[in-house]
Amino acid sequence: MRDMRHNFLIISFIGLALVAHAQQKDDVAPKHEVLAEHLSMSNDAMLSAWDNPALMEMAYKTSLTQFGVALDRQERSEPFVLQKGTGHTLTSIKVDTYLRLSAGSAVWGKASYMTGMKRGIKWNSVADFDLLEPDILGDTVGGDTRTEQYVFEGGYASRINRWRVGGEMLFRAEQEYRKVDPRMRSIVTDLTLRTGVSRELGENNLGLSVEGNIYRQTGSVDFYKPLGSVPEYQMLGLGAVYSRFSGDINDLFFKGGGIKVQADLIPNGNGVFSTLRVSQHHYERVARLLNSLPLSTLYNKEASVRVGWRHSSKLNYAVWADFKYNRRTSDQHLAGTSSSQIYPVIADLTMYKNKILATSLTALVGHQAKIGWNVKAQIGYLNNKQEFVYPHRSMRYEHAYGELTGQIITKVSKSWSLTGTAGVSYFGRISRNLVLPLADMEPHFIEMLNHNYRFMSADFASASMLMRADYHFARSRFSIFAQAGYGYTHSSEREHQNNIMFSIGINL
Amino acid sequence: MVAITSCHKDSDDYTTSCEIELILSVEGEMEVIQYSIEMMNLNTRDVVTAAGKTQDVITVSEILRGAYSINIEGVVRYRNADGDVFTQSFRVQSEYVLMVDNDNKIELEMTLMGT
Repeated sequence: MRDMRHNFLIISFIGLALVAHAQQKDDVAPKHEVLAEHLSMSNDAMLSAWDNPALMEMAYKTSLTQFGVALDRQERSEPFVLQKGTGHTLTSIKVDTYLRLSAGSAVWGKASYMTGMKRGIKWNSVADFDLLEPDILGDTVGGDTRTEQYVFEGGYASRINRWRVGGEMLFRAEQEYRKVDPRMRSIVTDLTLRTGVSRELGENNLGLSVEGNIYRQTGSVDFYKPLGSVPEYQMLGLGAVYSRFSGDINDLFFKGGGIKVQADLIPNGNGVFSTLRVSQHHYERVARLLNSLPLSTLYNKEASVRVGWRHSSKLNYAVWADFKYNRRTSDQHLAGTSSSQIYPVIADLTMYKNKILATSLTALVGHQAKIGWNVKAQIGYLNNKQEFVYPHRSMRYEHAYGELTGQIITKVSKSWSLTGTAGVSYFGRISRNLVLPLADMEPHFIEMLNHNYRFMSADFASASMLMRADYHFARSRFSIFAQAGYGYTHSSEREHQNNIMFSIGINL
Repeated sequence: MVAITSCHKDSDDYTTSCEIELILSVEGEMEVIQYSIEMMNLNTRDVVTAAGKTQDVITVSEILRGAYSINIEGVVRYRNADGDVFTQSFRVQSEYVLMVDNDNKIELEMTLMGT
C-alpha cells in the first residue's frame, strides 16, 4: 500500500513536471515578472473567488511551476490547545503548478508528500482534530504522533466566448500513528470535486460553483502493555463524554462529507468584487466494534460573504470586508439495549452547539515595479461560543484583532529576485466566560478545559518574517529559489510559540 | 447523497417526564408509599435521585430522554382484602426502561421485603 502510494506520488511529480516542461518550451523563462505576479500579496483579495475553478482561468496571466522541498518546525513552550500538542517537525516535497495552455485556458495542480512528527498531543487519538472536534476519541496520556500526508490536486478551466467553465479535484490521504502506548492509528481519505461556471457581463464576471466532498477516517487505539492501558474517552464537547461507550471502544470510523455552493462577482479590471458562500458538512462517528453503532454526528454549517472594491493602475489598491458565520452542532445518538452486540438507536439529541462569528475589514495597497511593494492592513472581530446542553456547560470568548503585513518584491539584478514579507498582529480579548458543572466532573477533565480556555481566550501578539531569493539562470527557463521564514507568537499566559521554515526548489 | 444535501435540524427536545405506577405483588389496596428513587441514564451514566410520598404513582419530570435503569426503595402501607393494614419495606428494580416519548407511563411490580 505504501509502495503504491509512493509510486503514485512519483508518477504525479513526473507527470506534472513533464506537463510543465512541455508547456513552457516556447515560453520565456519564469523571471522576475512571473514571480511578482504569482507571489504578490495583492492576490489575497481574489483567493476566495478562485475556489470557483472557472475563475482560475483568469487567476494569472503567466505560467509558473515550483518544485521544492521544505522543512517546517513549530515549538510551543506550553500547548495552546492540548489536543494540538507542543509543536511539530514536518518535511515535505511538493510540486505546484499553474500553466496557461492558451489565451483562454489554464491547468493547475499540486502534488505533495509530507512526513514528520507532531509532539506532545494529549486528549486526542484521531487525525483531523480541527475538522472533527469535539467528536473525537481522547485519553490523558497521549504522546508524539507520526504523520504522513499525500496530496494530489488538479484542475482545468477554459474560456468559450463569454463563458468560462472549470473543474477541479482535490485528494488527500493521511495517516497518523504512534509507536508507543497508547498506539493510535488513523487513516484519512478526503476527496473533493468542484465544478464551476462564469459568464462575462459587461466589465464583470458572474460565477457559480458547486463542490462535493467525501470524507472517511478509520481509527483505532491499541495498548501493548497488558497493565498499561488507560480509558479512551468518547468526547462529546466541553469535557463531556459518552460514558457508556468510553473505556475500551477504541475502533472508530468517521464517515462524512458535504456540499458547498459559491457565487462570485469579479470585475475584469477595476470595480466591485464579491463572493457569497454557503456549505454544510457532516461527520458521523461510528463504533466498529459495536456492529457499526453510530455514536454521534457533527454538523458543520457555514455562510460567508466577501464584498470589496479594487482598483488597478500604477498604484493598486483594494478594500474588502469579510463576514463568516459558522454553526457546528453535534447530535448524540442514544443507544438502547443490545441484542447480540447490535444496539438500536432510540433517540438523537443535539447536545453540543458551537457558534463562530468572524468579521474583518482589509485594506491593501501596492505598487508593481522593479521594486514592487504591498502593504495590507486588517482589523477584525472573532466570537466563539460553545455550549453543552446537559449537564449545562458553556465557554465563550471574543477577540478584536489587528494585522499589518508588508511585502517587497524586488529585482536586484538580471539574475536575482528577492521577496521579503513581514507582518505583525495582535489579538486582544474583549470578554470571556466559562461555566462548568464542577461537582459532576472528574478533575482531569476540569484541568483540560481550564488549560484550553486559558489559552484560547488569551491575548496573542505575533510577528513573522519570510525571505525568498530566486536566481534566474541566463539563457535557461530554470531558476532556483531558497526561502526562510520565522514566526513568533507570545501569549498573555506567558507562553510562546516559535515557527521556523526553510524551503529550496526550482522554478520552471 | 440525500444525507449530504438534506438540511439538518437540531433535535433539541431534551427532556421528558415519566409516571411510574407501582403495583403491589399481593392482593390489597395501597394507602401510602414513602420512597426514594434512583434513575441512571444508561448512556450518560448520570444519576437522578428523588424521594417523597405518594399513593401509588411516582412522577418524575424534566429528565433527559434516553434509556434508564430504575431502583426504588421505600415503605408501603396497604390494606388487604380482609381490611387488615400492613406496613412493609419494598424494592423495585428495572434494568432497562425507555424514556424517549413525551409522556412515558410504566408499571413496575413491588417486591415486598418484610414488615
